[in-house]
Formats: sequence, structure tokens, C-alpha cells
Amino acid sequence: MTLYEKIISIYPQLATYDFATGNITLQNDSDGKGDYIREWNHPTLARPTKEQLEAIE
Amino acid sequence: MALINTTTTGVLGSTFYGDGSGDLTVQQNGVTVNKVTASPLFHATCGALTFANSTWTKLPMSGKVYDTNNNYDPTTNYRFTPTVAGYYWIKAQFFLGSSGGRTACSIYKNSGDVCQTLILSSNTNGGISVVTQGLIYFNGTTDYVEAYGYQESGGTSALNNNGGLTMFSGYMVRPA
Repeated sequence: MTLYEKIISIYPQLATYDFATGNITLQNDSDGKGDYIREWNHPTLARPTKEQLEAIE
Repeated sequence: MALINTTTTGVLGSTFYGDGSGDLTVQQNGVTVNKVTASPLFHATCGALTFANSTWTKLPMSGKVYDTNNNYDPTTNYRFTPTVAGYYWIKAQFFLGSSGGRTACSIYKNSGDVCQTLILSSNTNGGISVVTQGLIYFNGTTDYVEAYGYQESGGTSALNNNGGLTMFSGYMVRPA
């Protein structure tokens, strides 16, 4: 499951416009370390914790 | 550094010689109007990549084609760090085999987005090509650029890394 899919499973109310140039920026630097949350500026939803994300398989 | 300094009017047919070191600076009445210097350029093609949905992903431009000043890193960071300060025209493009929603290509300077093309796309025509390009200043020491891509088809999407479809390139327009 990708990071995006994990975030959507935590916050299904998120829309695609929240990403890209929106409130949330997910990034992968092609360095083998995988996807990560670069920016989280959503006005109402809290940034998911590492524990929340790891709990989702 | 060699210097050519014309005072009033030049003489047609005149030949000027530099001293063989550094940049060649051209002045008129003591004011620099141009510099002739080594002008770095690079061109690279991309390795295989599958984009996750809604995730900015660095394009692993690992196939170095041209790199006149050894300023391009094709193995670790896939970045161009010119060692000559100046203004450069940088271009990145990629082709996505399946797409939908928004598809974007961006040039990051020092890890920040400075030049982006974002388009609405569909898969009805078999894929989408996105190109972005712009004029970027480099300080000649620490400034660098990388190419990133983005798609929101709803699932993963594979890049078409044919060298004629997906590439990263740049060249100096003029020195600082």
C-alpha cells in the first residue's frame, strides 16, 4: 500500500485537489527511501503520525 | 583572465588575443558588456520509474548523453550543479503510459519548485507527455536542479523512458 493510499484510508474525506499544489505534498526522491510527507498544511486535518501510518497494511 | 576593452570605435578586421587563462571579458569604455566563458550543458535520459498516485517523484535521469563540464550527477542525485555562474535554460519532460486527472512536470532548484507545468489529462489517447522549461540562475557553486513528475490517475502509473520521450537537459544562456 502506498503512502497516498494509507493517508486516504485515514482521511477518506481528502480530495485529489488537496495534493499536487494543494495542502499536502507527498514526495519520493528516488533514493530508495520511499514516499514521505514533505508538507502538511491542511487547515483542519492533523498530519498522520508515524504510528497511524504503520498501523495500516 | 583576458580582457578586450574598446574605447570609442573598434577597427574592422582587428584581431584580439586573450592571455589563454580564465574568462574572456569584453568591455566598452570600461563597462563589461559580455563574457566568453566555458558554457556547460547537459542532456540525460531516464531510467525506469513507476509513479505512486499523487506523489511528487524525482525522475531518475541516469542516462548521461552530454555533460560538457562534468556537472551532471547521473548516479546518486540525478542533478545538474553547474560550476559556472550564470543563467541557464533548463527543460524536463516525461511521457506517462497511463494517466488521468492532473499530470505535472516540475524543475526543482535546491529542492524547491521553480518551474512547473500542470495539465489535465486522460488516458483516452494512450498516455500523456508533459514538458516544462524555464530560465534559471545558478550561483556556480551550490545551486542545482532536479526533475520531478506527478500524476493522479488513481493508482500507480509507469513512465515511458524512451529517450525521445523522457529527458532532462539544459545549457547556459549567458554567464553572470
